[in-house]
Amino acid sequence: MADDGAMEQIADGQDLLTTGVLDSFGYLDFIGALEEAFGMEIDIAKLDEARMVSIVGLASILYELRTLS
Amino acid sequence: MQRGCLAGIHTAPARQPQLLRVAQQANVSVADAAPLRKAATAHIPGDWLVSINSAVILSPETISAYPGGVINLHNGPLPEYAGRHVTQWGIRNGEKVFAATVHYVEADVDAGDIIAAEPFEIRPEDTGLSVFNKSFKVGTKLILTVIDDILVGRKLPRNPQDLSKRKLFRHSDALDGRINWKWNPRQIVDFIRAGNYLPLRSPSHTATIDLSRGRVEVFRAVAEEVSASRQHHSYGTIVDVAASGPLVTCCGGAVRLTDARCEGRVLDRDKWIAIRASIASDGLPGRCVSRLESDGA
Repeated sequence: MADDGAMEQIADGQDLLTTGVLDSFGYLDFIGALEEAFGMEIDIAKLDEARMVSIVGLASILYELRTLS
Repeated sequence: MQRGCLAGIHTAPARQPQLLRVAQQANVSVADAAPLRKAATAHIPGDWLVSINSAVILSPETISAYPGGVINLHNGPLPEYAGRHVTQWGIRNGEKVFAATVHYVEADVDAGDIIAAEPFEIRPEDTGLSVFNKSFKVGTKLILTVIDDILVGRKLPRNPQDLSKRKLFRHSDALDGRINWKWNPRQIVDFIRAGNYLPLRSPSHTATIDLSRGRVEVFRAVAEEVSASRQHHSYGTIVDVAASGPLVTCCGGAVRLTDARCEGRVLDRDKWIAIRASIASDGLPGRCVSRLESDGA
C-alpha cells in the first residue's frame, strides 16, 4: 500500500527489497505471515535468496514446500 | 495503561517505513527513539516501556520515568551474550543452543534482572539471518506472554544475572569481515555463515577477501579435509578449484568457498581459476605460513 493509502501494483518478478516495497522488518514479517497463512515453515537458511525476494519466487518456494511435505 | 492499549512506539521512523505505516493505520503514535538516549523524561507516557530489537541505550532518567519498569527483548542468552549482533556471535562461537531473553532494563546494557528466557536451536546450516529470524519468532511469543502478565497485573519474576559470566559484544567488535586463515575450518565456516544475511544486508560483518581486482564477499563454505600431501601449504592457499568453488587451506584443514560473489555476481569456476592464476603462489590475502612450513617440515 502506498503512503496515501492507495494500492501499489507489484509485478510478479519484482524484487520486493531493492525496490523498497519491503524493508528488513517488513520482509521478516511478510515471511512470518506466509508461514502462518500456509501453515508451514519457510527455512530461510536453505533457500535460494534470489527467489526469496519476489512474489513469483516465493510462490514457487511455497509450492515446492507444499509438494514436498 | 488500559488492557490491550499500546501507548506508542519508539523507533527509527526513517529506517522502518513498514512499521510506521502499520502503526499509523492502527492509530498508534510513533516517536523517534534517538532522543530517549539523553532525554530527561520519556516522550510517550505510560506505566511500562517495552523495548524490542533496539540499539538505543536508554538514559537513567528515561528508565526511571516508567513506574512499572522498562523491559527489553534481547535476542541472546544472558549474561553470556549481552550487547549487539549476538545471534551472529552465537554462530561464530559454535553455540548449538541459544535463547531469547526478556529482562528489566538498567543503566548497564542488557544487565538487568531476567524475567523470562526461551531457548532455540542453532543448526549447522543456519545463517545469520535464519538465526536472527528464529530469535525474533521465539522472542515475540515470549514478550507477548510477559506483556499479558503485565496487563493482568501478575508480578513478574526477577532473576538477577550472574554478572561474573557477563560478556558484552559491541557493534565495533563485529565489523571486521576479513577471513582469518589461521582459524580452523569450523571457525571459518561459522564466521562466513554468521555474516550471511541474504537476501538482506548483514547488520555487521560479511566475510570478505580483498583482492586487487575487487572485494569478494563469501556467503557459504564447507569444511573439507585435505590430504597429507597438501597439508604443508601455507594457510590461505588455493589448492584446487572445483565446480562448487575453490578449496583454501587453513589451520587444521581447508574450506571450500561454495558461494562467493564480486560486485554481486557469483564467482564461477572459470573466474576462480583466473583469480588463482593472478595471485602469487596461489595465496589469498591474509595468507600466512603454517606451523609445519615454518618448522621446515
